[in-house]
This record gives sequence, structure tokens and C-alpha cells, in this order.
Amino acid sequence: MLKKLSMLGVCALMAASMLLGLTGCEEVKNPNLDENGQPNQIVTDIDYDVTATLKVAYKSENSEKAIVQSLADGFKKIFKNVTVELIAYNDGTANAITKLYNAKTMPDIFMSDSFSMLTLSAKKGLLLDFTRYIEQEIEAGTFALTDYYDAYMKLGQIGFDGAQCMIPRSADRVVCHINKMLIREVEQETGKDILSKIHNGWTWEEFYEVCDLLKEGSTFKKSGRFLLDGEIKWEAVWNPVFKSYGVEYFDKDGNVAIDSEATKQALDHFKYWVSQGYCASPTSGQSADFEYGKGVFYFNSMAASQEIKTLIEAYKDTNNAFTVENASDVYDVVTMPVKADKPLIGAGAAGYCGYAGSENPELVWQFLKFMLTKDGQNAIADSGVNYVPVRKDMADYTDSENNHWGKGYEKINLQAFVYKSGELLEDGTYNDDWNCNTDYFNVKGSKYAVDLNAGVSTFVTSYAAGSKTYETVLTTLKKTWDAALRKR
Amino acid sequence: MSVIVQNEQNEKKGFLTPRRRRALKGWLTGFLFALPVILGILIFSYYPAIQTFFWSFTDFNGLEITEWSFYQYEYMFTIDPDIWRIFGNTLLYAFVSVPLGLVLGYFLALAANFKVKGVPVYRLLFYLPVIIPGIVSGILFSTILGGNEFGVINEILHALGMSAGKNFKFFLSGETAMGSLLFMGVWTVGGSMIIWLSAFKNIPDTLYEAAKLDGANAWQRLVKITLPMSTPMIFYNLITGIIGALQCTTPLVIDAAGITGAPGSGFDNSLYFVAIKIYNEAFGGGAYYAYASAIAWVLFAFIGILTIIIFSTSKWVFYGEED
Repeated sequence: MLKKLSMLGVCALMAASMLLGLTGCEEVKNPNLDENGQPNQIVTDIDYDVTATLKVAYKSENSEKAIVQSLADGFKKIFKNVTVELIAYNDGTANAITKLYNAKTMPDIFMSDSFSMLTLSAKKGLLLDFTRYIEQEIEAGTFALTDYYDAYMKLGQIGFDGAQCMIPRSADRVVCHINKMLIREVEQETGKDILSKIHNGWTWEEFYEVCDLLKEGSTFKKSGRFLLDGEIKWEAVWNPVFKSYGVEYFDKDGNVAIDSEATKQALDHFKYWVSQGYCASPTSGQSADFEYGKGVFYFNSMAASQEIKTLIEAYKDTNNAFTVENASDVYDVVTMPVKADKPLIGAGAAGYCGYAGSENPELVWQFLKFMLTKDGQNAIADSGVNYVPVRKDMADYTDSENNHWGKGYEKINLQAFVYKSGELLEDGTYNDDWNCNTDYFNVKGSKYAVDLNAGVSTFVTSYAAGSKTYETVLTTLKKTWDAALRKR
Repeated sequence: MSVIVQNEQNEKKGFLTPRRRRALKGWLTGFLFALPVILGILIFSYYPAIQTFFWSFTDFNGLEITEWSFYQYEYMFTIDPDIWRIFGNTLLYAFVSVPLGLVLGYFLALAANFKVKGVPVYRLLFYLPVIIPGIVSGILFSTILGGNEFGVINEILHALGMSAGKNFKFFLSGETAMGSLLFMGVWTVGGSMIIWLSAFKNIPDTLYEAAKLDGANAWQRLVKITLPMSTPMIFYNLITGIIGALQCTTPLVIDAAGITGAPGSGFDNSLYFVAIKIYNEAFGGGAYYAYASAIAWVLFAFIGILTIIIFSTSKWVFYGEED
């Protein structure tokens, strides 16, 4: 009998496991959402005395926590009875939000980047579409899309040209961070003027000329010392170069079109960095170590305040120790070099998404709308991280009274972050837009973005390392893309 | 008299006789003691396993399912350009690392089994690396050999005058990455040493004494007594070692040169193992949970078949004389 009981128990447990396993595949309908997975009702007339709790999830970093806290404090001044609860997540954004969604513990608002947003957009009822809120606000005259850099707003849209599902919190553009102290050392040693050759809008030819001058210094003649942390693997670095050379990834019909003379030229461009010793081979494991005070240039979109903090830390126990106040003696920033005839610079966006199933979707929009206001953008800067505002009318960092992102950094060339990015000019017009989004994969569908980009990263780095031919890396890329596009 | 008759009648009629009740109580007590483990296995092993089995026949992306099919298996065996290399790497690692660990552990145990002064200290020293968490030893070796950076060994050689161009590449070359990983595995050979030692202790001294009286030398005693008597331990180490090696994720921990490819894949995919592939597919940004589940089930089936083969060829294992 006991044997039978045991068998029965095991069978019951297995059946329970099977049922539980199947429940994971079951979809639960939310009655508050329509057939498109969006709230049934759009409300933009807001009750400022409303009592509610907004849960905001952010990527677990001290700087991001400070930003969200600062935004929450600002928001509380408008919505006094709204409690903002902060939740940190450690995993990658798409994984973290997927877990929260499946555990039915979704926050109302969560931090994201463009690619994670695209991944998450696969699920109906997860991302709140702000398009209708924006349209109603525009109609009411309380919102104008022209206030914001187009490139960054687009990065918050599905397919970078559709529903607005992420609101960018800052304009993250690739710039060239500079260690001026190392340049001065070479200038003193060689007697050549180098710093004056570095300026916003400089071209690759000018960049190479400066690199050659720096290589004349004894420090950078040494084996194992490099000038540039080039981040060759990063799409925000390779994509604008590819686009500048006229590389086409896919043709209009979606066929692979990357095998071209333009692609070879763009690849040779990166190989040149390595062969000339400006940049360590991406497969060598070495680097210029800009953030340790050893490299001269660093292509990155990090805020100047963060890079300054890192360099202060690197030099703190040396004779070259410095503070934020005299940071301009050591650090500066310029635009990433561009191709003279077709200047493009990589732009990316981090921002915040709303949960479509939130009990307070209108408050979610109000919070993110506040983030886009001047007060909201200044609140971000007041947190200690001077990310670049997404508002064109806040581009002037020298007016630090009104535009806090420049406060304390007036001597740093922060113009690099907004140079030719459609910012408002003195005559009331907007200048050219050099910003370049990575959006080629949209021909195939945004769900392939991660894998397609990974293929190109390997393509570029393998070729730049110098050990593989163009044909070899191209064959690998085609195979990788083919496999990626056939994934379900 | 009538009471006894009534009890007997009740015993015949009722399902829960006192004897059965006692047995059931015993069974329930035992079951309750085992319940935490049973629940743990159910919740953390069977439930996810069964769920992934279902997912492997879908296109589940962590959020929704839109189709049910065998496509993930078809994709794995006919489209994925890396999968055969990945299975090849995994098998190579398992078939080299397991015997290597067994042999080294065995000889280490033999050495540590000598009855000389200070042997317990050596045993402790050999075993110490095993109690260092995998993450820590991964970081340690990443620093020593160099995962994404050139490591301590090269730094020392530079200090001794070696030029930067002659660096040992360790994990930064497709030719040396696997060797470096196998070398890293030697670090924890103390784990199998302890098991060997316990096996040696279970071999009766009388066998050795009898062999000595018969004139057997040290080699003959090793081959004719120690080895055959240790076969249950060899078998156990072989099974657990192969299962462990086939699930190896160490390159992820040491971040072995995912410079030109997926995280933890090693230089030119030289250390791309099945378990790492599963992780990258599910959590690498693309959220291909369905495909990751399919690979996991193929790995499970492969391990299962391999284990059955090893069991079916285990006649060489000596389990003691049967009565």
C-alpha cells in the first residue's frame, strides 16, 4: 500500500509540475488595456492633489539613483500627495524587466536604453505608448516636439520612427574625451603645438595628424602605450563611420548589401588606428587606459562630470592630483572626429519607459513630462551628473544659471556634446544635425537588433585586429546574420 | 471475548487497521522530514525543467508565445553556424579535463596517503583551493593569466626584461585558450584527492599485508589492490566529473576574451561551451528563451545518454564480493 501511496504522490507531484510548467505559457488579460495593450482611456487633465504611489525602477548605479531621486523630489513639488518609490535593478534592462513583468511586480516607470526598449516592445501591454499623450498635449498647446533633439526622441520610438515608448532623459552623444596634461607633456618635450589643432568638428585627417605628433613623444613611442581608447566594438563608434563612407547594410528589399568598396574603406579606417599604434588591437586585451590617466583620447558618451571624477581618482595620489575646480587644466572634451564630406557622430539614448498596465498611466506621463521640462533637466544636472539636456533651448552650457548642466564646468568645452546636433542658434534657427542613430536593422525588424549588431561588432574588430582578411570576416558576418535573421 | 472478535471484524472491514495506521504514520513522518527537499527539487529543478521543455517547442521570448513548433531544434541542427563547434569544444574539454583531474587527483592522493610527518598540512594545502568560491578563483586566474587584460605572469616577465611583443597570450589566442582553461582546472584537483583518500582508507590493510607476504612489490600492490578497490570511486568521479565538465561555465566567470564575440566565448569561439551558449541566448540581450531551452534539453539528453553508456559499461567497477 505504501508503495502505491508513494507512487501516487510522485505522480501527483509530477502532474502538479506539468501544470505549473504550462501556466508559465499562459497569458493573463488585463481588463484596463485595449486590444493594442494600451490603457482604455487617455487622461491628460490631471488632478494635482491626487494621492498615489509611483514605483520607479532604475539601473542600480549611484549616479542613476541620484538622478531619479532628484527628479522625484522635483516632481513632488508639483504632485505633493504622490509618493515616488525607487526600485533598483541589477540585471540587464530587458532581463530585469522581463522578470518583473512575469513576477507581476512591474514598476510604473523603468529605466531603459533604446535596444532594451525595442526588445521589450515585443510584448503587448508592457510598454506604455506616449504618442497619444503627446498628441493631446500638443493639441492643448502644452507640449512641442520641436523643443527636443529629433535624433534622441526618435531613439525612444519603436523602429526609431513609430510609437513613442521611451522618453530620453538625456542626449547621449559620442564625444572625444581628452587628457590635456599628457598632451602638454609631449608639447614640452617636442616643442610642437598640438592642443591648438584639436577643435570641435575636427576631421579624421586632423585627428591622425595630432596622433602622429603625439607619437613623437617618448611616452607614446614605448611599446604597450596607446593614445586612444577607441571602443571599436561599440556600434555608436562604427556605425557613423560606416554611414559616412556610404556603407549600406541591407538594400531596400532587405537583401544583404554590405559587401562593397565603401565597407572596405570603412574597415580600413579602423584597421589604420591599430596599425599605426594609435589604438590597441581589439583582440590584444590591451588599451590606452584613458580612465587610469594613461591614454590621451577616449571615444565615449559618458558625461564630462563622470570622466572628471574618474581622472581625479586616477591621479589622486600623484603630483598631478587635481580637483573639479581646476579640471580644465587636465581634462577637456571635443567632438568625435568626422569625415569631412559627410560628418556624422553616433548618438544613443538612455531614458525611461512607462508600464502600460500601470494603475496610474497619466501620472507616469506626468512624471516623464516633468523630466523633459527645463526644471526636470536641471534636476538631473543638480544630482551631480551633467548629462546633456534633450532640450535644444538648454544647449548653451555657459548660461549655467538657467542651464545647470554647465554649472561648475564652464571652462570645459561642453559644446562638443551638442555641436551640430540641431541646437538653437542665436538667430532663432537650428543648426545642422550630425547625430547618427544606429537604425539599419529596422529594415529587418527591431527584434534582430542585438544579434545583427553583435555580428557587425565582430566583423569590425576581427578585421581591425589585422589577422583576418576582408573575405574571411565578411563570410563570418554573412553566416552570423543569416542565422540571426532566421531565429524565432 | 466479544471485544476481541469485534476488533478482528473491524480489522477485516476497515482500511486503516492499527498496523496500517502505524505504518502510515511512519510514512507520513518520513515524508514530512523529506518534504523540504522534495519541495526544493520540485520548485527549483522539476518545475523550471518542465517549463523549459514546453518553451523549447515555442518561440517564447520571456514575454509571450506566438507559435508552437519544432523549429528551435531544426534551427539548432541545421542553421546555427556555431553549434557544432560549441558541442565540439564542450566534449573536448570534458574528455580531457575529467581524465586529467582523475589522474592528477589520484597521484596527489597517493602522495598524500604516505604516513610521513606533516602530511595533514599538505592535504590541507592541496584542498584549500577547493573551498575558494568559483567566482573568486575565476577572477584570480583572470588576473594571473589574463582574461581580457594581460595578467600577472606577463607583468612579472616584463619586469624580468621580456618585451611586450612576446607576451604569453593564454586566453587571448585560439591556440592557447583551451590549454589555459585546462591548466586552471588543475587548481581544484584537491577536491578529487579527498575522495580518493577516503577510498584508500576503505581498502583493508589485511589485503596489503597478505600481498606483501606473497611477495608483491609496490607497483603490483597498486595495480592489483589499490586500483581495483578504488574503481567505485573512479566511477563516481568519472560520472560527476563528466556531467560537471559538460555544464562548464568557467569562461563566463573569467570573461575569457569575449572581445570578438559573445561573452565568455573565448578568442574566436575557442572556449564557447554549451552552457555559455544557453546563457547568452537567454540572457545576452536577445531574450531567445525558447532556443536556450531547446539547447538545454539537447544537453540534458546528451548527458543522460552518456551516463547510461558509462553505466552500461561499468563491469570494471568492483563493488565487493556478493554473498
